[in-house]
Amino acid sequence: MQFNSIHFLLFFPIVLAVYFIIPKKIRYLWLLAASYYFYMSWNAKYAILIAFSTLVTYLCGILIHQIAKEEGKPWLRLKRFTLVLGITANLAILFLFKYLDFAVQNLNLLLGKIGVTLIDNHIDLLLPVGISFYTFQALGYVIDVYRNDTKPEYNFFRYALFVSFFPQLVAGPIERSDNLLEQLRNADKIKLWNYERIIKGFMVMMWGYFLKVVIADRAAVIANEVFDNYYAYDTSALVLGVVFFAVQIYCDFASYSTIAIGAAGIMGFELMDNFDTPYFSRSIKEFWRRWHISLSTWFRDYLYIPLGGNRKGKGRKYLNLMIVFLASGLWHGANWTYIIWGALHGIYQIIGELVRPLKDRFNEKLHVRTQAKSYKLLQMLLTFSLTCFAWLFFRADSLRAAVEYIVRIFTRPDPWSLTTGLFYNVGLDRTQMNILLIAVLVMLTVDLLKYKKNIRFENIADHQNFWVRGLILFALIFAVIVFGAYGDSFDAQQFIYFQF
Amino acid sequence: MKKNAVKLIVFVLAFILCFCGVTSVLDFKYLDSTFKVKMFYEQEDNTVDVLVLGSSHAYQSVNTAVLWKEYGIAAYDLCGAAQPIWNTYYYLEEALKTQTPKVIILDTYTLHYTDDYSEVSFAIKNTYGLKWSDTKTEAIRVSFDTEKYGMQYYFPILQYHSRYNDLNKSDFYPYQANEEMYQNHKGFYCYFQTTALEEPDLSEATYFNILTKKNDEYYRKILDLATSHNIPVIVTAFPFAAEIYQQAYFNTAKDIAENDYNFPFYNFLTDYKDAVGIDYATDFSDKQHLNYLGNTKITRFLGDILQNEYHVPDRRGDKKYASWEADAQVYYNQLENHEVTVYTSLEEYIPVFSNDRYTIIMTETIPGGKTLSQSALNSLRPFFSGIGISDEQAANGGAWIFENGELTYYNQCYYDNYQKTVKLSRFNDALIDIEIADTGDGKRKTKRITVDKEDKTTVNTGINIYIYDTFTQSTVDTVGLNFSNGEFVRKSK
Repeated sequence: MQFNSIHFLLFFPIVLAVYFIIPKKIRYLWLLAASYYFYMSWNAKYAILIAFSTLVTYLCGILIHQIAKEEGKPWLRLKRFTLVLGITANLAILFLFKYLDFAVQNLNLLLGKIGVTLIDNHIDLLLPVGISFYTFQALGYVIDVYRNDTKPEYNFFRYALFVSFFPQLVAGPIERSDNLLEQLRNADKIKLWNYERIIKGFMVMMWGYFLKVVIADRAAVIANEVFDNYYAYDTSALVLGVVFFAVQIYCDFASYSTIAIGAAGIMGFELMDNFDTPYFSRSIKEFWRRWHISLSTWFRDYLYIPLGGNRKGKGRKYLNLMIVFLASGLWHGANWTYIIWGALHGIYQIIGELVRPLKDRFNEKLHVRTQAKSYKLLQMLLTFSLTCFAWLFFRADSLRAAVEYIVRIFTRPDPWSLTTGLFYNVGLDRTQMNILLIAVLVMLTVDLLKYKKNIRFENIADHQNFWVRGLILFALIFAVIVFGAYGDSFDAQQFIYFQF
Repeated sequence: MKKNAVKLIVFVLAFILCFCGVTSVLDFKYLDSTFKVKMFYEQEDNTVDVLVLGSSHAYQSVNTAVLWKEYGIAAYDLCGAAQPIWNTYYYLEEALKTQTPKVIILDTYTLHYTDDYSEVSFAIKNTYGLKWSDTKTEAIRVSFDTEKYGMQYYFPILQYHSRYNDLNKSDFYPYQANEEMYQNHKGFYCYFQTTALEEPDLSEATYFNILTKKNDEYYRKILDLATSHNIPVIVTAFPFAAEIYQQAYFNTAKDIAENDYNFPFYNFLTDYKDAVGIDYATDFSDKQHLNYLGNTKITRFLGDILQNEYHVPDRRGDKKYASWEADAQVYYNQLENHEVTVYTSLEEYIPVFSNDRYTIIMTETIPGGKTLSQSALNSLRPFFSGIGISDEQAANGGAWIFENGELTYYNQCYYDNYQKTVKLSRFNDALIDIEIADTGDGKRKTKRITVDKEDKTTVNTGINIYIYDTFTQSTVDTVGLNFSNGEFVRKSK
């Protein structure tokens, strides 16, 4: 059940209605049932997987907590063993469903050089939606318990809800036990009828839908057209294609988190922010503080820092960075294109660090005003370009396609296309393109408000008359209903991040 | 809390209001399908005596205007483009909720379809016009492959929301933005153009093609439903450029109607072709449909049967049936308009100028800007005097406007630059534009007639006549008499 499906449009109000009227004590049970229904609407068999992950990490949590009460080295070793077991079991499932085929194919390729074939057929396991998200969330919990950062949850059903909480189940934000689990423990204390919170939750949801169906699904038409037929396009369209892919993936992914945050908000839960105006970043490093925050902080806390972070010298720091970003690439999908994408982001940051002294000296010598708006804008543009360059690998169907795409960008200049109306002919007609441009402008304005003044979308009208908020809501709802890219004239786009 | 509740209620009410407004603008208004159903709901209960069901073949064959004018029969063509038989069944079910027809005329054209689902666009056209009820949800369930598409077609807004891209005035005004023409609509639609067809040879169609299970089921359901309501059915196959395999399906349809239900089957392709006198050279507008000549023949044939065999009452004069009279007038006006377009001399147009439906703009430009020679004036005098224009005006030339059958404006166009706008309808204006321009054979004064940015001038020197029907809100004819060679010219539409 996707957020932009009729199914969800019926599901969510029903869940809400029941949630608001049942006794406080069983709220979490109702949400658990709803979450499993939500997940099973994709494929009922998936429930077994998530239930297994839940059980394993639940038991690990309790075991680790119990073992920690004992003193002595063997106990410490047992504690560590339990942790490793929990992590291994979960990563094994992830590997089996997500990476086995990829690994076998690449092994075949390698062994093929000496004439050996390992397994002839593709291992065709359907990738369960959201498996990377909930696996990471569950692993985070186990590690937290191990580190004594959080109390273990003894109520199995409450813990199961933490792993499967439907708003953020399949595409994040990847929640932390100290945030979501803690809130679930206090679910019975939530004051449900809070007008302000409900309205704002609804507003956030609508904003998410706007990002998804008005912007992302429309931008997707351009990106798909260009990436699927890159051999037929020249520089202008190719650049347009990748820029609109950047728009698409941001709006798509952010929309999911936004809808999740809004939906959880209506029910009284506060999910963490997942995107903070990433395209206004002035460096790749900053980009990763603003993009998919729940994943990058996950990698920071559970991989980068345990690896030693930046405490073991420069060389080791760069190695750790590369490991994290390669892992992040691989997390996104079992394909070399994702790995290259991750590698690029690692390399960007290492190069950025390496050339910083040079850059500083250059700026000093030439008296460049680094606090000037123009300089900051330049930094943003450069960062955006680098991000787009990496997106190109992310979106391309294969490494070869990505390389050919890049070669074409640099060898097929067509400046005349800027005046011959090409931009109105790449997948979208004039009306659709204009709608897209206006919507992107709205999105940029909202992001700018957040970036500059730290005003979140739902608080935009806080100091205005009540009808201003009403008008904003109206505009959003009708923009979604009328200008949403859904129905027969548009193919319903899946949220991109479901595949990860 | 109370304040918030009020805010919420106001918001929800305003939302519903806006939502209804937006959806009514965006909703489909297909003249060939959904609109017919919408208009059917406007019929007073129990007034429709003859219910015509089926595809476009039916609504272009059964001429409700002729049935009314010549027989006083109140018929309604509750049909839809390429309508599969299962949709026809649900239309019948819906119709019987408010009407008690005395006879049903059923078209069987689509019984030769072999797919269990029609194209999505036609499925939309043949279901979305219905009001929400069990009938509609059932019709949607049967018409769309839910295994393939899921629930989406139960939500029409998913389909029509993107129409913002092709809205026009008929989306903002009721009755297709032309109340006079459509507010009494009875589902009938008439083509006036003619396409000469070769008569199909169906003599070899002596075998029977088996109907698909779904077609057979719904065909029988229609006949069963009619039987259970004691409504006789006249089953038909209307003429078109049919092929042998299609006729073989009609053989089966006939067999079922006659032998299983004891309803007559009129096959106008074969059995009744000669009795009606269908002429394939003159009676068709295209390969699929009859034109005004063809549908009049069929309708008179059916009218005789309805009157003599089924004793359908003559409702003429009954106040309850005023809308049939008004609807018939639409057709006869269109017919009159069509007849104008075959005229080949100015004299024939004389009565046209006194028709109060027309707004006519006429200009006369004399070569070299002089006055008309005596001999030319003599030859044109019958025309000019026929429409009430004096010799002096005729000799000097200029621009004339006729509205409601009367001359309302004359300008000799003495000055070189001059513009006059003429209101044709709520949405259309015409412009008379006089200027000095290079017309190809040197600079001279021109009188252009422009409607909707389209040039309606036929000749540079001579007489231009532009005729607009304020009733159908459309151009009737654009003709001219060229003074340089004496030719009568018609501008194609």
